[in-house]
Amino acid sequence: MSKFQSIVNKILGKSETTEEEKSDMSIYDKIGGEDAVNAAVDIFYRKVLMDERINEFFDTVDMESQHAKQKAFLTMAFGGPNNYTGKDMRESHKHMKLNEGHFNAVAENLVATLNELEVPQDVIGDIVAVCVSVKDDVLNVETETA
Amino acid sequence: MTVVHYDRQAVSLNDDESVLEGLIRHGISVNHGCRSGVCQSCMMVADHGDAPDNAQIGLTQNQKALNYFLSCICHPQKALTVSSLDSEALTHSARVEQKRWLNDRVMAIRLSSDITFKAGQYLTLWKDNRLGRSYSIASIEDEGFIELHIKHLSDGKLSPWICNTLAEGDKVNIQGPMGLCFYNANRAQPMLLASMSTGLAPIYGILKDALAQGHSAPIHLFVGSQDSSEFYLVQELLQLQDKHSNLQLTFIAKKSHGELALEVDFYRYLQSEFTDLSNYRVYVCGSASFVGKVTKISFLLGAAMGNISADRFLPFSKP
Repeated sequence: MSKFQSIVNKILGKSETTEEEKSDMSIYDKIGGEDAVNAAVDIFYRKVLMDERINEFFDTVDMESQHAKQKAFLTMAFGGPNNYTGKDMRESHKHMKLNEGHFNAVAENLVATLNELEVPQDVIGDIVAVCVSVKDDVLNVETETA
Repeated sequence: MTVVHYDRQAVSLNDDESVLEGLIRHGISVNHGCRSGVCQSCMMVADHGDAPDNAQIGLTQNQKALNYFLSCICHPQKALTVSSLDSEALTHSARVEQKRWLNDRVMAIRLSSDITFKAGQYLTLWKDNRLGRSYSIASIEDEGFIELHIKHLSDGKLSPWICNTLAEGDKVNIQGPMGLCFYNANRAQPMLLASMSTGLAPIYGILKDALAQGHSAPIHLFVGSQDSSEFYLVQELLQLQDKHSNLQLTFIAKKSHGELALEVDFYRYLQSEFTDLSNYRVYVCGSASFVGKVTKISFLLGAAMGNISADRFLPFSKP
């Protein structure tokens, strides 16, 4: 059991989830739902604020509302309930003129956060896949069709 | 069957129905989004009755203390009276009990009223039906009065009236209290308090509340101002420090005359004083830019965002 999972279980007063139960669960439930988001959000937000490549997008006077945005982002990335549409993603990121380097920097910080919390590699892979699925919308480019 | 009261209507919840679903079924419009307790857009407040703990998941300590809850995941066992957060706070009558200058620009005004409040919250003081301004509460309930600190702005709309015209014995309307910046730390949790200018009002209230409730862990208070001549309540603060060995005061001014204050950069000094704030409860009050900078420093030094409470004083802008 990862450190992360054990923290989450401790918070929830739960015993370890069995392998059988795990296979039926979404990523969000597997890593502990909202408690997982709460455990990750401060670590992730600190990392992006320290990252010179992208901190201009996150550094704002109203840190509380920025923190809430990071929480919404992580909830989405963890496969939790959210109402994001591709259109929302485009609209909210359009004015920032983001490039691939920015996207990768955010993803690196997210992976570093998940590693710090000892999230299993296959789950990290699933979370990265969610992020990649919204990449074209975030960067406001036409979706490539195979 | 549980009954939920909202704006003089009684809504009987069906089995397994959440407060949000019940209200919507009765044609009451409530903001909502995810319906799973995540987005917090359906947050409401329980005015009577306790919101169940599991309807407060993800809320801050202070939101819980004020009985806020998420209506979409709230399945109460007992009757609840609820209201939405965007509904206006109630207006009450108050009597001006005392006015005194704290320095040559800041006036303390003490009001009596029957409202319940927590030191550090704020209320709006109305001159008439149209003109009002918000001020933070610098007193605790046990003191028996509401104390506000008014900075006299000669081109202001309200402060000259409060300072020069309003008299002891006058009645005024106050609306509130509002705000989530108040003391509720664990008694054994170290605290960092930081204020700039009249940001001291809520911080002074929070400090008195903490001491009155027997806060035993260290309390570091950083009081800032542009010029050391603008400090106020200095004697009162120094007396508190003499009485409470866990309180440590630091006065910082951009321009300092005399021994009281350090003439250093507030932010750099704060940063150099701490290496790890991960256990700390942080309160910061002042202008938006001051609050933003101190919040960032505290957060990067390890303070959890949920442990930082801030009150940003916004300049008045026309609606």
